[in-house]
Amino acid sequence: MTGLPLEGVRVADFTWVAMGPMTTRYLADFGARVLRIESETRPDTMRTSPPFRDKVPGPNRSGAFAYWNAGKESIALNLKSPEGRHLARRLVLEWADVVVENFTAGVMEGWDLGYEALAKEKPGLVMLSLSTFGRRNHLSSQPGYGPLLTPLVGVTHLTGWPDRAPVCPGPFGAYLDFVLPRMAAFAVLSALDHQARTGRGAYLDISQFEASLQMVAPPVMAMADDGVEANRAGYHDPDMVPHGVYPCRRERDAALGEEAWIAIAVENEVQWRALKDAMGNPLWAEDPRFETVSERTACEEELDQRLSKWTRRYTARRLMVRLQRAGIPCGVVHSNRSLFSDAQLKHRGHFPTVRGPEIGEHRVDVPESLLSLTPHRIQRSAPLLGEHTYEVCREILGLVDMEIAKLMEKGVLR
Amino acid sequence: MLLQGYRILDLCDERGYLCGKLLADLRTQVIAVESPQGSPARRQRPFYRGDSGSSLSWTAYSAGKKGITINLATGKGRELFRLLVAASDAVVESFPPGYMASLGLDYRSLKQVNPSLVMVSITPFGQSGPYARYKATDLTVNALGGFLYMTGDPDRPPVRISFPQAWLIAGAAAAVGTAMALFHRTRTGQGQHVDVSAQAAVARTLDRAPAFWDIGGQVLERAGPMARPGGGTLRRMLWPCKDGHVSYLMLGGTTGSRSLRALIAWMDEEGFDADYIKDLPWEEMDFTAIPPEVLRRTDETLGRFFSKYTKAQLWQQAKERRLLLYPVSTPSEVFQHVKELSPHLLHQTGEPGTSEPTSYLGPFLTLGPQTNSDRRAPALGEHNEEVYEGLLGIPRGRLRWLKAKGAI
Repeated sequence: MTGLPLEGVRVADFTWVAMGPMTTRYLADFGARVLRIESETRPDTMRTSPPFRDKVPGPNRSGAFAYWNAGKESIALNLKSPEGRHLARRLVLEWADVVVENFTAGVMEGWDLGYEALAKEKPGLVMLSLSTFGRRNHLSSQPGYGPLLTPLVGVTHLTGWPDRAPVCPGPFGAYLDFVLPRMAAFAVLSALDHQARTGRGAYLDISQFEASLQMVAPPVMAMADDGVEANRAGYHDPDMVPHGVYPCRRERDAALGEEAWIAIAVENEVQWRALKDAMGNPLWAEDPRFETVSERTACEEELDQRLSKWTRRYTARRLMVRLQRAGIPCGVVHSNRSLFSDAQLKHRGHFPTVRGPEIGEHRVDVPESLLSLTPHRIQRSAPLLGEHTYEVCREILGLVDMEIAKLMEKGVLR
Repeated sequence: MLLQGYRILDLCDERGYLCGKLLADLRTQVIAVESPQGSPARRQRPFYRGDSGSSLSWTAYSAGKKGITINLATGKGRELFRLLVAASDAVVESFPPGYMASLGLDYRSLKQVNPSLVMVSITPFGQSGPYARYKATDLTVNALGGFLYMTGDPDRPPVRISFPQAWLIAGAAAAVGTAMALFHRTRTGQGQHVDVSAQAAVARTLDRAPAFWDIGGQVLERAGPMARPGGGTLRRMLWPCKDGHVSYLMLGGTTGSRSLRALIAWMDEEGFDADYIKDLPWEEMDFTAIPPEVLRRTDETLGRFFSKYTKAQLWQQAKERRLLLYPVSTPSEVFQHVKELSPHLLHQTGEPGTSEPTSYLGPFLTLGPQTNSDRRAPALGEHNEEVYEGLLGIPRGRLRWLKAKGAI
């Protein structure tokens, strides 16, 4: 007994890259047994992507892979061979409660692992497919990946400065790949609950395009109804001035070249007065041109410059504590380094350490929901490619050593 | 439908209302509970024709919900709320930590009324910890979640996505927590409290950036339209074309070779000199392995090619040739994509006797012909009678009295 809410739930995980693996991480973190079905013949792109431990590439050394696959197991199975597909099918039909995959639509069907083929023999199956446009669409076989979806639905257009070209939202422009796993995991959990209540299975054919629209629906609808085309606006906000990111003094523990910024958002006149107080009520701030939000909007640039001069004198961490004490919304602009030392994320245990055989000790993140009775628990680091092949063959598929050796020899179990 | 049979009370403002929307998408009966003045979420931009009484955000994220009013500041109102909780499966709220407790309506108190209750609280930083009482906006949560630092042009400060995202991500995260807790309840009968942090949620949208520091010791800087997919050389992700931008990453290996070869074939057909690109061994080059001097030459060639075409032309060819190239769509273009690709998602409010109809979208996942969210967002107090009379069995006379007392 683990006391985790998904204890006993078995997931056959055919996913790769980011969106799929992050989805099944939610299931593993809450106690499901997640078995990755992968292959040396076509390794998950993330296994071959940096960062690598000690900068030495290798399928079991990628920090990217380790980040999204902690807590899972792995069987190496060549799905290009008929025997490999047969074993995958057996895993689904004889073992799994849930199947998750994120190939281009049609790939699983081509292997006879599509929902219809599987559900015919296992009607209670819950299956999630994540594809760019879903299966009920004339573009269903269009290939896609994260850096493309985010621009397609309008997020990229809305990111950056009005006088400049758009910029990538987030480090690699694939922002929505890391938003949608929540909707996908939510759908799987709802289907599991439905199955527990009714015995019926479900096919969750998620169109990433359609799910993504939820994140930008209002500006798209404003266009449809009003003909008003929203544009990227830097950090301008019609209701909040000042509202932006201001330079600070470097922290002592900063990395070489790391920048220091604080984000400040003044929502109303009370907060503006509090900010003036915090600055020691300098003469310039008493200028009637800065009195109300609409007046401040008219001279936002000057205001930002003056404010920057003041913020530069402090480190972002110290300034945040001070301004928050005065009731002003603000926050350190964390880099991917300083995030790890954030006091609040530490309090929530957001980056626990795990240890893998080749990658050694490293940190992963955890779900953003803390459940009071059944909190998540990271069970183990990400699996080596095929780490559990033998166990799974023996214990789940009931193969004897001779058979396993033969399949190894034929290249099915790789 | 998946969540049919559940009833959920949704007290969220804009800092969580996507959660209830997603629940309604899978057919939960979601009752939006507002104060008699209306939820602050009704005053969220963008507004239809500049009218601050007609929020397209409210319309989008309250579709599929029923709406009732209740004044939790009054004893009678709180009493009524407890009756509702007793008749519901879950409560989702986004008040600052401590507010529900100050009304005697926190999880511990509500559990007395409904022992198997699932309660979900969405806040900027969580229920406890050093920032629990910190004030926050979309901008500051994106700062503290690590998203801003890596977004923007290198010669200007970090920048955010201009349509607020942090509360939406937190709302989607809360849907995961809600369904997880409901599943546990189905199996064991036990309810519990779910504590969702928007900061933690944003910190989970950073791609593999945290691993780049933890394993690679590398701080990732913002790079405008470029990115470092391999951690090393900057590569262009966003390209200018004749009338805007498209997204394309020159990529070999398993992910990109086929698409790149198809692009080269198109360049060939157009008589565009792509020999330099053609002769490179793309099949062996993945995220890591392109030398910078090679990139400079290929970028120059590709840039010239893309700039000859419009976004629509490039997207058309991408569809026909199955290229990994997509347009950087503006909202009006996104609307066209929806009309072309998913017309079943488009709905219109059509409220009788009120303002002109506005548009909203159906569910995040289409499971069958019917969902709750083909029903428009509720007007203020629209379902008071249905819920108070029909569900709680409060007689009409008493309802009038409660209204007069300011409880509803």
